[in-house]
Amino acid sequence: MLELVDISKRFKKTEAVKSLNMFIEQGEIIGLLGPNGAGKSTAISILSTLIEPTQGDVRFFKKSVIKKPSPLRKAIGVVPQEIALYPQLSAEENLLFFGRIYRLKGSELKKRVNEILEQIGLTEKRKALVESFSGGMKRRLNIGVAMLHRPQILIMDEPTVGIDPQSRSYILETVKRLNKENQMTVVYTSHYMEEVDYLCDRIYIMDQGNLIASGTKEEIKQILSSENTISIEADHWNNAFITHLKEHESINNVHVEEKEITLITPKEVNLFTEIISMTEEYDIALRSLHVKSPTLEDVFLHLTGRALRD
Amino acid sequence: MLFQLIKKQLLLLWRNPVQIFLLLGLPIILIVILSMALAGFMEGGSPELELKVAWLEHGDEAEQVERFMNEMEALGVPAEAFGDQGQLQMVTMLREDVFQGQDLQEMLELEVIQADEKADILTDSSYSGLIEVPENFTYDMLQVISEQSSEAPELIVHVNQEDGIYSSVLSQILEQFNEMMATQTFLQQNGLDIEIEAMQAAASAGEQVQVNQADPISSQEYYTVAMAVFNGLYVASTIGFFAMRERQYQVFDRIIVGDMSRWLYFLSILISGTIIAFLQLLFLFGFSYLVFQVTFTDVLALLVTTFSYAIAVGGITVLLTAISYRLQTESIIGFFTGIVTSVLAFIGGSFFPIGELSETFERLGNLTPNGAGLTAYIQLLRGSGIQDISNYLIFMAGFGAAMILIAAMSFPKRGSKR
Repeated sequence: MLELVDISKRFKKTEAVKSLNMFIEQGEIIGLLGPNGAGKSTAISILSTLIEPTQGDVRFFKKSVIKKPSPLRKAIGVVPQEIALYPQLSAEENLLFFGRIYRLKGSELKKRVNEILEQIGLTEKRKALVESFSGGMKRRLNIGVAMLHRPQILIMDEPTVGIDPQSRSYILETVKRLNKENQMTVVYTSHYMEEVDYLCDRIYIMDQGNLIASGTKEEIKQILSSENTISIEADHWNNAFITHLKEHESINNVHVEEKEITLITPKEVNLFTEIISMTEEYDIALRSLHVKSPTLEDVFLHLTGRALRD
Repeated sequence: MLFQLIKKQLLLLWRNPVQIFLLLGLPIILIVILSMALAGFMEGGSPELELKVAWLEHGDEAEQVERFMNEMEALGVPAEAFGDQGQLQMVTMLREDVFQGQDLQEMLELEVIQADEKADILTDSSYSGLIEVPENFTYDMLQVISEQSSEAPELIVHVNQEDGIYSSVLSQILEQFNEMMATQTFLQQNGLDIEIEAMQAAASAGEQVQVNQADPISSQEYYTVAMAVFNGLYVASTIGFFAMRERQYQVFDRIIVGDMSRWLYFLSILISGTIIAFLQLLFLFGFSYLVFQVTFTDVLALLVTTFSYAIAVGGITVLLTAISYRLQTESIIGFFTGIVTSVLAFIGGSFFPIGELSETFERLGNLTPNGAGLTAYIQLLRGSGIQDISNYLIFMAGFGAAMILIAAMSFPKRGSKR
């Protein structure tokens, strides 16, 4: 349905996207995962026909849309990272304005505006100015605007940034429902691993402009099939202990957080006993030690040596 | 679609009271303050003075002139040599043509008094002065003019010292008259036949020219148009600022992704800037009409001029938007608002009529859209028609077209870059 073929994008000295290949099938939810600066937004902008790639092609139903973006533009709804709304207009005025931009008219437009307000739970706030809305309400309206013209493909660029857990959950459920009920194709970018894990059928992981992994969730997690993810929890750490772990020849990756250390180790090596001895040696009050099922975060850690939110 | 974009711009402005105030309230305040404060400067610096002067004449001037003529005739000088006898009555001339003349009648009240009132007048502080014409003044003066005597008589002037500027004005009037008499005496003694009346007529003609320079436009009229064209420039930065916000918040991207032509958006910015500038100027002219009675007699010419200027503002609006979109910064709009607008206003004569300083300034001012607009409006207020200001109209429309062209070349091809 929609393809990015060997796409690169250079901004002066920075190569934001390097030889990216991507395909999107009808009705699936695609996740684009990566830390800030990975090139996700640039990829999304190219996919949305907002910027032209330095090289490569964007094809919609096998036809290039770089020079003639109109067919793709009519088929997509974009939820930008920013709240792309007019704060001085009401929710209804925003929807009416963008509805007309999408060429909806008269009673059809009014009907759609009412439906969207209902879907995003803002019917009672339709006359209120957007500037008076909470962050979550603005995000919901931001999504609602993109859905006005019933797009085939909904492209969402980090739609849950800076909102409360309730609104976040509401948005995730909405995306899930749209996909299920309307067979809407969704391209979802995020640096929240759990969102992508929850929503997406297939995932593309990007880092520093490169595509470093792609496939279904299961396929990606298979990357860690020959390795174990060990989680160590304690109240505090000391540097000597961490240095010891990092220098250990059987430990591939060490990621340290405040009360948890994640280790990636070869499956055939059992380090349990040794780790317990090390905690005693370095006077670490161990709270737990267990082998986890690999997560996308672990895959990213394995592939880049860094956590997604570093 | 275009209508929706323009409607949205107008709605955004309408919902922004600060910008409304800056575009409509502030110029009104400036018009009121500047036209009041600089009224004297604009209207030739004539302060509103009201002098009350007493006039005491000893002796009968007609009798003195007749006596002088008889003596001259006895000496063998024919009466015709002195022309009309009425012209020899210089005191009457001073009283009637100067003090009670057209030029001074609005600022000077002359009261002819009798000798017994003199003491009271001298103690009355409501009088700026008392002019006393001595006995035989005219006769003695004619004697000097005909070289029968060398001792010139003098008018006695009592000025109220507490009345500062008023008594000074009174002294100046008399000095001027004395100079005129001295000149006339010199000319007469040297056989040149120029009479007092002719000299006064020449002086009056000179004053008339001065009046013609200052009279056609009042400070209210000047500052109405000066502030209108000056503040019209702020429409460009206001709409440019709105457009820049649309880019920053990715609303512009959303519009482009909605498969709307970027040229339609471009056109909406141009038309919005033009419409808002047009309405703003008409609002300000309407205000000045109601409050200051600033009236443009040729309404069609006013509308055409305002539309031409609005096109120039629309051109600047779309250029500012295009450049800020290309450079991805709103600092260009800030620079325009903070510096360029003030410079244009200064050169264009919005703060004071800079064109009167030199021809170079005048020419330079007319090369700015606001300066050309200001000159066109002033000419309309002075009674000129569309044809007289056609070069300014063409300049403003041409300026707008040039801005639009540069803007079109600078406008980014697609959405905002990341």
